[in-house]
Amino acid sequence: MRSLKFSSLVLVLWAGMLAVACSAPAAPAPGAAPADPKAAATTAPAAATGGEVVTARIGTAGPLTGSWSKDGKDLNNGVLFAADVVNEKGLTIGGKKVKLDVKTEDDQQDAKQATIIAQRFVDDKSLVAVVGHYTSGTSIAAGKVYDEAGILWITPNASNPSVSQQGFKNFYRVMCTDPIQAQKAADISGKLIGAKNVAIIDDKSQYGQGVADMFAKGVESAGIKVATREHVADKDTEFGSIVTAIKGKNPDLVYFGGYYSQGALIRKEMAKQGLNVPYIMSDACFSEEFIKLAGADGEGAYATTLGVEPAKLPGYADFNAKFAPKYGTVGYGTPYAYDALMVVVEAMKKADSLDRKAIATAMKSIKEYNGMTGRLTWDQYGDNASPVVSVYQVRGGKWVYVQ
Amino acid sequence: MIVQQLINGLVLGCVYAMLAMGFSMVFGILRLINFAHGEVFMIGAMVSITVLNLLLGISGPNAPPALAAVFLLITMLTAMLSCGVLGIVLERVAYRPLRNAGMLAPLISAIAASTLLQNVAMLVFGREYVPFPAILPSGGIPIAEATMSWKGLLIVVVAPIMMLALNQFMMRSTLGKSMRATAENLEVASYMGIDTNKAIVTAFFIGSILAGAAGTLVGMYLNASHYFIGFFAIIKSFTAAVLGGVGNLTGAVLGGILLGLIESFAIGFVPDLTNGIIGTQYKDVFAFVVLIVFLIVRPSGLLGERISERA
Repeated sequence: MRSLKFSSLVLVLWAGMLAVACSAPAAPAPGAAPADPKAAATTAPAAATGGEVVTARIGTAGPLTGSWSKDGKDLNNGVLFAADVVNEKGLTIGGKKVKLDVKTEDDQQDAKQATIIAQRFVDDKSLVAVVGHYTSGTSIAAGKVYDEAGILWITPNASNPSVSQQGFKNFYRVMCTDPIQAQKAADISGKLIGAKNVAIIDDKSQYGQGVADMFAKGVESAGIKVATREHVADKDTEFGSIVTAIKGKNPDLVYFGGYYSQGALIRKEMAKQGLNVPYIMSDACFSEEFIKLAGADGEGAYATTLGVEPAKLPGYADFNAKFAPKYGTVGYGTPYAYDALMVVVEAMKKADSLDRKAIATAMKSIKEYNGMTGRLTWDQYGDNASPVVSVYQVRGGKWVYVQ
Repeated sequence: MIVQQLINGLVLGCVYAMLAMGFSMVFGILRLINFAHGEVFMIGAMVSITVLNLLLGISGPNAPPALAAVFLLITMLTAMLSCGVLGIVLERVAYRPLRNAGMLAPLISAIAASTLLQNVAMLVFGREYVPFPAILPSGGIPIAEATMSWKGLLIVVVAPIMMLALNQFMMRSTLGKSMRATAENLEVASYMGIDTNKAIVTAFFIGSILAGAAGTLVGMYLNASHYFIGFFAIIKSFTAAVLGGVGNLTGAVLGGILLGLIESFAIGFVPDLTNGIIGTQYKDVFAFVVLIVFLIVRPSGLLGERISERA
């Protein structure tokens, strides 16, 4: 009897503590859960008689969990919102009314997951095109599957140039690629900041290491010395020894290529150890989450971005007004994901068919598209031929446009 | 630079030592690799963030130093207590029913408990890094040409105190003696009239308290916590425990500090020595290489194992 009382007391205590933990301000609950794969695979391809509404599925995948999940969610919201807008306006393909259904999957920023998801998408006969993936490493992995299936896929933001160098036939990008932002970062290191000796860190991801390497090349050709080239593993949280090692090399600028969680923690570690030199980050760190995580230590940090912040885009006010009630704040990548889906719909309209191969072929004949993010054109690799890049700095706890 | 790496290594080492002690205790008595130990550590960090945010919400973000110290104390005690309770619940729910089921079933149960806690934390606290409120000032005290940050200083002061307290408890108190007896031979201890269940529950409780304290300190030191940090915690604490000799509490402390120092110095010097071929992203690898070498050369660890005999 005594043990029963004791264990029930312990359980009550524990339940109570859990209740307190849950009721305290906690981060927002997880977003769209991945749909049941079996249901998608067994759905018959869209076949209908006149007057009936046909469902066309669009697949989208990106990191919805993990250290870049906030931006992953923002991009996902952009795609979902675009589908809402299209469905509201009504879409007619091949004489039939079409309703867009977006199937979201979480690739956890992991290439293995991405390949599995890509296979799932491709096996679903009602899936006509893919918007994704949201990171470069996963895009390359998934791209092989999409290429074999001949399906159209557009990434809103994966920016490492190697994605378009793989020879994928139906691949397109909305944002431009990393060499442009790396070059911009190298330019401001010399001209704006006047650095002579830089330390470069990357997170060993396809994207992070790529953009850091390009930055290294850029500064070297500008005559700036690279003091040291460091790497972190992408799940690291402890940077004390790495920052100490960098500090010992006396850099007057630190560049980080990677995602915002580590960008913020590295910055905090720099502040802790008194390494107060200018800090430039690549575009995946340009996020509200960086400011939240870094707190006061994030002040003065620079980030390059591909494109401009959403609020600077023409038509943003209307976009935000319709977007905010259902999805919350417009994230940095949201308009690009929106445009990616709109371009897919353009291709569908041009092909006037829901056949994958027809849509992919029709995309090749679309020479330009004027979207939320401006005028989009593509070269023979699918890269954005009219790139825009900007630099932002954290001032007073907010990102401020520099040039 | 050497001094700074030494300081970094010591701070890290103290954390690993605290984790390894709790882990080692359970392994010594039950021969159970308590995978959920890392998650207890993570829950400690998360609870401390929640409690501290609550307290700072009441007082306002810039609390005067005296109040801040009190908050920190309350936070740490709450985290420690909740982790202790969590440890007891784990023992009761996940491990005790499988006490006589061999070695594999409790291990699987441990992995299951670990995954469960990870996902509960992910659902409750979100998938992002959760920032730790800035309660200690940023700077530090200069030592030689390096700096010991205030947070690091707190760790280096608190951890040894707790570990010494635990050691005294194990040596002097009756409960400590019964734990050591149970660790030596469970069956014979029970024949001698020792309440072995109580000893085991206490081992889990104390180990989890230490993990909770480590969680608070690390969350403060790294300025953030994440639902996945338990994974690395368990790997490091396992390594440290084995390095020092499993079941041996002094060995766990030694192993932990050694592990921290090795990691720190490896990051500091190996990339330069190998011209960047072996870069800093291999920092976890260095620790494991040392472990493997040790297991080949001296399998029972630095100070020898103390696992219970099974007749």
